[in-house]
Formats: sequence, structure tokens, C-alpha cells
Amino acid sequence: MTLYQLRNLQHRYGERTVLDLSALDIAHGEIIALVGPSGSGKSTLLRLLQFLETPTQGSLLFDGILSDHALPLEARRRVVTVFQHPALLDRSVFDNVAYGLRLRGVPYGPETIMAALGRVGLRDYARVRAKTLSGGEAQRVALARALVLNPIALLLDEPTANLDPYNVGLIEEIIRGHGTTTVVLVTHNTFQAKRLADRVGLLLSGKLIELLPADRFFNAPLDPRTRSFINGEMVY
Amino acid sequence: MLPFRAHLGQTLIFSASGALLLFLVLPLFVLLARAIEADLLQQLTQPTVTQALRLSLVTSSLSMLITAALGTPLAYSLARHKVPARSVIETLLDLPIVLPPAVAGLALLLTFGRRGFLGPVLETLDLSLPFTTTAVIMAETFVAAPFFIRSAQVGFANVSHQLEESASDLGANNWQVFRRVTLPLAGTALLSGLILSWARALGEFGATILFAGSFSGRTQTMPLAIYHALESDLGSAVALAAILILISFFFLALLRLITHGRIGHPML
Ligand SMILES: Nc1ncnc2c1ncn2[C@@H]1O[C@H](COP(=O)(O)OP(=O)(O)OP(=O)(O)O)[C@@H](O)[C@H]1O
Ligand SMILES: [Mg+2]
Repeated sequence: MTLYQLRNLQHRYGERTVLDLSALDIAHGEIIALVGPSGSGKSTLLRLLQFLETPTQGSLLFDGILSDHALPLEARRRVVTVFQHPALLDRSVFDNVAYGLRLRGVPYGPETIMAALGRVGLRDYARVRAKTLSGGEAQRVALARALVLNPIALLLDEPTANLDPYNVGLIEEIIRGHGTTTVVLVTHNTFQAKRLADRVGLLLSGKLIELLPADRFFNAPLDPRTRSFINGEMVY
Repeated sequence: MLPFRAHLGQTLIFSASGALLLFLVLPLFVLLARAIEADLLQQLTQPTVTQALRLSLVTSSLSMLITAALGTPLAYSLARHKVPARSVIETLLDLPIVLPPAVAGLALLLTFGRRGFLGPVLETLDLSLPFTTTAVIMAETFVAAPFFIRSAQVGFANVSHQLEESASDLGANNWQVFRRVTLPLAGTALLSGLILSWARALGEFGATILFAGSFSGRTQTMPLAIYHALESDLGSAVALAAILILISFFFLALLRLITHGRIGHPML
């Protein structure tokens, strides 16, 4: 079952084409990791998958629905992103995690919020003002507020970029326990992609070079550029 | 001990600041003192005074409501959307700020007057605008709205797009994003724009006298009433002026207090 279906998709900023994907299918419940050098279009792809922007050209189907300005709010609400630099409200950590539920008008008890905070190791931070958090803590709060919404797709942009090894392990454990949630994980860490993903894709200058099951991506890639990227040689 | 030149510099700064401050504030205090002398409270019961006061408050408040209701969407569009000929529009919006109000009044008269550009249309609708209370509100809105629009536009432009996106990412619909993130974050700029435009409306004279005339109880706002009282009765002119100063000071201080506490963050 496909959750996302992208066809002949191009996305431009002004004159510049930053994404050019002929076809990309993302299945229900899989973990896809996207790797690629800085500026290759990874975050932009997540923005499209989150419907923050509509593709300049081509089609993006979510669960069979075309992503355009008429995309129903209900569909949009089934996807959540944890951004590279999450923006938190100037409120308590608890309020931040509860925010999505409040926006939806879903009744919730404090234990729901506390459970989500517990999963990211921040149970004791509920009353702390979000503004005072460190980068890594903020990132984990952002993950908790995404998890509490129980999304059908979870988009993660460098979710462990600011974290120490212990918390990286914690977050990876959460991703591994994603259940039926589809996860699209953007990471600069190829080892993380290897540890977590069912399939791994390489983006170079907005093009999807290849998207393969993780073991094949790392052991027998078809494209030489994939191999040199894995080996840490710069590719442009 | 500071060196001599540093002393001299400080003395210069203090005396320059003091002189200007005195120049700006002294006349206001003299006026207030004269008003107390002339029995301000007794003047307050005069019908010309109460009528002018009521008219000023009503028209400037209505003008502020109209400005906020129609100006907010305009400011938002200018800040956020691709607007064709944006800089032309912005320059045109700034014009009423720099033009002498008399020019505004004349322009309104030529447009909405009986023989004006829209005169025939208004006549078929059986509407006559000049020299009515409506004309007062129109004149005030015309000269005051740009202050609000420009301030609100800057406010909207400064709202972090990232915060709006994360609200939308967490499932906020467009209205929720606007209501819960954009509006509170732009709130300070919106309020200070409202202060400015309201104060401008309250002090409006030139456009009003040309387009609405000076009919007691109907179009004679406080500034006009002061002008007319000068001819007959200095006492009530002073009283009216003092009241205008006090009201303006009160509202400016009040709104300053409100905006000060709200240099804003999105509210849940
Ligand atoms: N709003 C925008 N306007 C213009 N150009 C943009 C915009 N957003 C991104 N770009 C450009 O699009 C390209 C892809 O950006 P994107 O953020 O998707 O890269 P990325 O792969 O996420 O990089 P990184 O690993 O550094 O986060 C970059 O060259 C960037 O400069
Ligand atoms: Mg990025």
C-alpha cells in the first residue's frame, strides 16, 4: 500500500529547480531514510510531504489525495514534521506537547502528555519554560509533540543533530518502535540510516539518485555516486 | 574627575535635551494651568463642549474600528502576498501621511461631493455625504488609516514564518495559525498602529473642515470647536484644548501600557 506517490515532480524557487523527482513511492509503515549533501533538497522534500508547499509541477498524492491548496485539513493533520530547527511556543514544555491536540480540539488528560514526554526522557521537564531548553532538549520536545498526535506519517529532519550519544540512542529506539507510522528520516549520519531504515535514498542536487533497501544501498549500490557518498567522498 | 572636555560634552547634551523638552512640554502645561484657572469643570457642562467631545470620541472610535477591520486584511496582504505594483501601492498609502490635510479634504470633496466624481452615483442612491457626521468619519479615516496600515504591515512582515509553519505542521488550520500565532505576534505593532491612527483621527482638522464643515453637534469635533471658540470665548477654547490633551495623554498612556506587557509570543 502506497502512502505517498510522487510523479514527475519538480519544485522551483524562482528560476532554480531544487527538486526533480521522476517517481517516488513511500509505503505505509516503512522507514525511509534520505541522505545527501547539504543543499540537495532533503528539507524541501519534507516540506512538500508535509504540504507546507505544493509542488511547482507534477503530482504528489497522499493516500490517494492530490496535494494542492484544496488538500483537506483532515489529511494534513495526519502528517507531522519535526523540523531541523524546531520552533517552540514560549510556554511550558507541557503546553508545547499539548498544542497539537488543542488545535484539533481533541480532549486529552495530563497522563497522555506526560507519557509522550516520558518517551523522550523529559518527564521532569513538563513545567519548564520551553524557551530555556537546550537545542537537544527542544528537539526532543518537538518529537514528543509530534508523537502525541499519533500521525500516519512522521517526517524527521535531522532529529538527532543536537543530541549526545545517550539521547541519540533514545530517539533511535523511538523511531524503531514506530509501529504502523510511516517515517521519513532525513539524516547526515549514514550509520543512522543503516541502523534504522528499511530503504535508503540518496539525493544529489534535487535528484533522487537511487532508493534501495538499506542493505543493498550500503553493500551493493547501483550508482557509483552512492558508493562515493557512503565512503564520505564529496559528490556534486 | 572627568576631563574638562567630557564635562563640556555632557553639559551640552543635557542643556540641548532640556531646552527641547521644555519647549515641547511647557506650552501644554501653561494651557492646562490656564484651564484650571478658568474653571475647567464648569466649562465641561457647556453644550458646545460636551457635544464636541462626544462627537470627537464617537467619530474617532468609529474611524478606528473601520480602519482596523479593513486595514488589517490589507496590511496582511501587503506583508505576505505577491502584490502587483507593491511599491506603487505603498507610496500611495503613504501620501495621506505627508499631504496637508486640507488637500485630503479637497480631494474627498471633489470625489464624494454633490458635484464630485461620485456625486451622480451617490445622488441616485439618495446619499449626500459632505457636511454630515459620516463625512467627519471619512475624513478622519482617510488621513489616519495609513498610520495603522503601515505599522500593521511591518508587524505582519516580522512574524516568524517558522512559528507559523510549525503551528500549521501541528495541525492548525489557516484561521488558527492567524488567530493564535500571527495575530498575537503582530499584536504590538497592530496596537501601536491603532494608537497612532486614533490619535491622528482625534486631532483631525483640515480635512474635516473642508469636507464636513463645522456644524455644532453634527460635524464640529473638538479641534474645530476650539478654532471656533477662539473667536467668541477664549475660556471654552482653553477648556476644550485641555480636555483634548488629557484624553490623548490618557489613551496614549493606557495603550502604551497594554502594548508594553505584550511584546508578544503566540498564545495558546
Ligand atoms: N525558500 C527558499 N527560497 C529559495 N531557495 C530555497 C528556499 N528553501 C531552500 N532553498 C534552496 O533549495 C536548496 C535545497 O534546500 P534544502 O533546505 O532542501 O537542502 P537540504 O538538503 O535540506 O540541506 P541541509 O542538509 O543543509 O539541510 C538549497 O540550495 C536552498 O538554498
Ligand atoms: Mg535541510
